Amino acid sequence: MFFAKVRVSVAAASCLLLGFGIQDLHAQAPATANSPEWAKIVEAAKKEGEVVVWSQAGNSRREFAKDSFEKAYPNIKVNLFQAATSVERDSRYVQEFKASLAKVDVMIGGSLGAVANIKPIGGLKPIKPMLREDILDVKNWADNKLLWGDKENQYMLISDGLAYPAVTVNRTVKAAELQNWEQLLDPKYDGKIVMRDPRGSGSGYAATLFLYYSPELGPEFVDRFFKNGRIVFSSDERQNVEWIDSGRMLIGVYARWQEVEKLQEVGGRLTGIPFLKAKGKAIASVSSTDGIAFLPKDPVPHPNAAQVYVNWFYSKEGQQALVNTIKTSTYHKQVDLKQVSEMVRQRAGVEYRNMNDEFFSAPQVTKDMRDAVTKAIGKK
Amino acid sequence: MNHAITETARMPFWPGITWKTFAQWLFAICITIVILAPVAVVLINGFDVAPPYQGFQFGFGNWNEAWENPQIGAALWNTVSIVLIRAFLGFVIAIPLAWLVARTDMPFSKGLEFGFWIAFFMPNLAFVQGWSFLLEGYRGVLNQLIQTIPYFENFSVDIYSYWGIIWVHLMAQNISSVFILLVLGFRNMDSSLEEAARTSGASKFRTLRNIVLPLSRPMIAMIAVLGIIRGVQSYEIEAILGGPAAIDVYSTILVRMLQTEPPLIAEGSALSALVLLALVPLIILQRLYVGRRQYVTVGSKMRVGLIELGRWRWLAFAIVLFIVLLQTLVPFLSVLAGSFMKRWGFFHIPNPWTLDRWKAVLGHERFLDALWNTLVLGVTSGLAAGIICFFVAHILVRTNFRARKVLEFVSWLPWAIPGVLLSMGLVTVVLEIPPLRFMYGSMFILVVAMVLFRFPLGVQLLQSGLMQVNKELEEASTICGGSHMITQRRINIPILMPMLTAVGLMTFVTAINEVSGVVLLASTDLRTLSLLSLDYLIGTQTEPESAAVITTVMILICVGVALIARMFGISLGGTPAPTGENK
Repeated sequence: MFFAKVRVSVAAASCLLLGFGIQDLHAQAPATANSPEWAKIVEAAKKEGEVVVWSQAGNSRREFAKDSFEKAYPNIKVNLFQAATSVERDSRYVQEFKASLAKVDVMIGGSLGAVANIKPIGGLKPIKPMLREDILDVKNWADNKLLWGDKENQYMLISDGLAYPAVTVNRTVKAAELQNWEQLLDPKYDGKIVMRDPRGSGSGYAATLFLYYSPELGPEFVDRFFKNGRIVFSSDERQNVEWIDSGRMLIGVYARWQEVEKLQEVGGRLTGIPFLKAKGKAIASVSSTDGIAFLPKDPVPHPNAAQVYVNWFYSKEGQQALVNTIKTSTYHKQVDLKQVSEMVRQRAGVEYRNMNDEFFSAPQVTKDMRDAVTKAIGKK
Repeated sequence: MNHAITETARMPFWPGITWKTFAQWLFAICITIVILAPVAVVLINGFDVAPPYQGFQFGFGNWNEAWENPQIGAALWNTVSIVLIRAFLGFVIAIPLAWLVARTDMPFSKGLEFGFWIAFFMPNLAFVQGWSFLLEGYRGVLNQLIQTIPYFENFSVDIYSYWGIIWVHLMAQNISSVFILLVLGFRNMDSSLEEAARTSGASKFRTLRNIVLPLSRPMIAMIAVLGIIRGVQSYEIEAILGGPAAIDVYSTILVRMLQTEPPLIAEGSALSALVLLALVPLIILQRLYVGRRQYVTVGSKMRVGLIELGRWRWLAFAIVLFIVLLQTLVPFLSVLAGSFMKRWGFFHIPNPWTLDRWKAVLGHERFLDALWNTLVLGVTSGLAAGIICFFVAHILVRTNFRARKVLEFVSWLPWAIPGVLLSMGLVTVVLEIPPLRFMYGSMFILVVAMVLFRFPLGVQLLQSGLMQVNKELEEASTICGGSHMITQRRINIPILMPMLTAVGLMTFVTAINEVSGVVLLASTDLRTLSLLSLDYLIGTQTEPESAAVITTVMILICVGVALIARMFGISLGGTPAPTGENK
């Protein structure tokens, strides 16, 4: 009986090794886009004919993740699923992964939830071995370095950095007079400041992590800022900027600048303030909202198409498409940024904090901030 | 008689049990498992104190956290007060409307009734968009118009408020759903009692108060309990209108917990379990109240006559028409207009109208797939709900099945837990039990969910309908040699056809409009129209104009189905009310 079990185990191990062997062969990154190995992968991807991509909601995200790729690779169709939030995307994947039912090739978007929830259960595959040499060439990236969202520098290559304008204000608020975060504590703004809920994902989460963990502001500021429900939460970015414009709200924290620009095009009279000071220092945060692709654990339904997709994603062409559709700023040096508003670009003299640092994905870090917000809201 | 032999025949391997009893047990057990499994998952999750996605660890920490959260007390109070106020106002408005339509000679009553069905079919979002378009404190079109009137320069009604939430609820499905259910009950009422009251000198109002309302007690009690339970988990209106006014309710807090990074599933489950426990006494109370009395209103000598309103009939017509138009035209025209706008509500920009949204949405490759999926889901769910709810109601009312009280209690549970959590429970069950994994993301699980979402209403509606049908009709059929099935087909089903149709159509409409309940269940390939609209409405980059295109299509489908049902003589305000003896 014992030996029978051993035989089964050996057989299983052999299968696994064989499987890994196949994957290793597959995971050999071709040297460059012109190499014959790469041509073989592209050919195999065309035969697969499809790549399953999970992204987040939004038409511009669809234009980028699906339309732009299909234009570059007409023979590979993108089967795109857009979750309402990254929380929903991650929850769905974890559930399917645990039941061995996950059928996704590539995921795109915010990384904090994925680092916190998917990586610890072994649901991710390193992306680095899948990328071509020319993609990983540091000369193509800002400051001649690759920025990673995970401490192993293997899973999440960050390609974009969006510097949210700290606040967007109604025309009745004099932008020149609003210079410090502390000024937002003025009682005249009670019930007149809108942002996304910090306890969810997205800009509200990033903003409050930044406020909570900036030494110049910290828990005490967060406590006063959210006290007694003085901040209005709404997840609809477009509605938020309309409220700021109409006067229902006077200030928006980390409002989506793309929505502000669209409203300005039809007469909206609201303006952005790119950063505010705290204790005399100009500080702001920078986040990757759409420029991270990460790979689910094997087996994936279309391994070759997935590899083609992520290499396109981080290529000059992919990054140009990202900039043109989502209007976010990329670290890729060869990309033309003229479509990116100055308002969301990093500027000199401001100290930026990277919100995709793995520190921020630690469960306790998130929990402390979230509990502080909940406690503050309940305070009279 | 063969059928009698069959029904009383003993099972060969279990002589103490008849085949009929066995079939009832089997059916009841299956239904109970399907309902209890996801509910049990929610309850068990409430005791899981392990970090998210890290297995199961038993503890009471989530309950403490749910209880100690300072916002939850206020949210629960808001939930209770909003639900009670809108239930009360809904009844006060809907009872006279239903009585006018069902029991009087008011002109065009069938057409007006059909109007309420259309209002019922409209997605909630259409009402929210429509009324915020008119009464948004800063930009509301109606506010601006009224401000042009002398002495009203400072007039401003803000829909983003406590009373705004109640108003939109009333206009949305509050009045229309109560109205529809009451009309169904009023129609099945023997008019001889009213005639007797009138002959004895009672006024029309006194007849309504002393005859019609007492006879409708089971129906009213059922609607009240359904309304309260359903109201507790209402989400969309509170989420959109309550946000700017900092008004939280139970469901908004719960959804926020699920959307938190990482999701607080366990804490949300504990909160839901608390609410579920609070609702149990209500269910028992309703059962005790209805269970003690006899409410037969349809007998072999039933008469259904109409009360003459005389000169008041046109005034009554005008009032009912006004309410119907408020509930239908306002949201529909707003949504339709929005679908042709470059930017929702922005009339002041040059050339505000465009066809681009329609071209983009209808040209979308997934639109036809979603349309087909939606229709398949709607029709299948509607049929399944009608059949299953009828069988359950029949067991509850017409048999001595020993576990029927348990079955009735279980039938309420799907409404005691918000749809999104019930879906999560369903998904967990399917994923955790390997033989069931084939269902994951399939049309089948969506149908199961749709039937579950409408199950309490369907069972209660058909149960109260069956209670109103005198058993003597079935007995007469049996004496004449009709088998059990023939009796159902020729007696109960024809009498209950309006209610069966109502259950089917309500489930169909749920399948068309439901968003939060299906979002976790549908696979990434299986999208419905409501999920397609979700892409435009939820998340950070919304496009209400494109969503309005899909909402318009959804409204047209629902109205189209209602019209087809009416063409085929199914009662949606179109069935001629019987005026003579019903034999």
